[in-house]
Amino acid sequence: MRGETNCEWSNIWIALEDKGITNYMEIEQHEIIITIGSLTLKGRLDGQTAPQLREMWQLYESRGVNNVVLNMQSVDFLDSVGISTLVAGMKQFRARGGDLRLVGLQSSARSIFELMMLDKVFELFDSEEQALKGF
Amino acid sequence: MPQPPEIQQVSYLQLQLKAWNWSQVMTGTRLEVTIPARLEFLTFLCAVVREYCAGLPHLLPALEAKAGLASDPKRVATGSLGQPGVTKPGYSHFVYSTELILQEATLNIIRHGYNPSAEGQTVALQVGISWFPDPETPFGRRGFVIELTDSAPRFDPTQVNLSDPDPLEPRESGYGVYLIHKLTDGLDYRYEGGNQLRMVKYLDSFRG
Repeated sequence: MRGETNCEWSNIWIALEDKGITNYMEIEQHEIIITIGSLTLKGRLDGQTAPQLREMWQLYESRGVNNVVLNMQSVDFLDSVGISTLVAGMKQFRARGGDLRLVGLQSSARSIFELMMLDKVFELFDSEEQALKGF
Repeated sequence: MPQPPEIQQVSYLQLQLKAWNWSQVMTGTRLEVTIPARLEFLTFLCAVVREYCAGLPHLLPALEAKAGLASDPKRVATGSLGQPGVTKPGYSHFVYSTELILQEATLNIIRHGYNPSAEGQTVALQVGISWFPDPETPFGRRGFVIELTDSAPRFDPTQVNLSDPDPLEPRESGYGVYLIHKLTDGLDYRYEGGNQLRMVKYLDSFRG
């Protein structure tokens, strides 16, 4: 990496040069590869459909996937059984060091989340890109 | 939980299941559903509940006329009930929360009340509109009265001990009755040969 910078680092590089400390820098790079499950739900997440989601949690568990991004932009109805299933999934993944992140809750579902104080439990994101960032 | 408001005047219009069409609102009968063996029926029931709730704004003028209440032009103008019949994203919080309390209460009856088997049992649903006195508004408030009747063993959801959810220890069950309490403006239970649950949702409800 000697003598090379990318634009993200260039400001620091100049600052270092200005101080006359060094023009040499070493960057050690670590790569952490994690598997992220990505799911998109459409329609209703209620007592009827929630068992399918529970099956997905089991599938993820058997494959060792503990980080999941769940896109809920197209979920237009969420009931207590749906909420229980989300909490169960979140607990399962967090117990193994991962997380369940929810993307794009519609305003009605969001208000139910706030009522249940679940907006303080789950990490809620506006887009999948944002949700993927912190893993 | 506030005390259930006293119901002054209730006008019931019921719907006949066979003719499931909003232009065919029936009086004098109520929606009574016999639960079959296969629980795919629940899907059907949810669809009925959804249509029912989405249709509530449609029903409003007829119900008000029946109850002798003048329509409120202001409400129509502001569209506080959302667009009638719109069940897709964007339909109002009012319709959503009404559908939710109805679904939670109905599924409670089927899953817990009639446990282990709900086959052949019935759930009756009727909806009405009523006027409730309110010291803060000279004209009182109007609200839907949703009544569910079933013949399961006695269960009074108003007596359930509710603890607020703890964000540090999120629980995996027990959200149903909590939602009913939080999203209704009044909850009234009676046992007269069967469970009778009346849920009140003000038209200008701030809950949900």
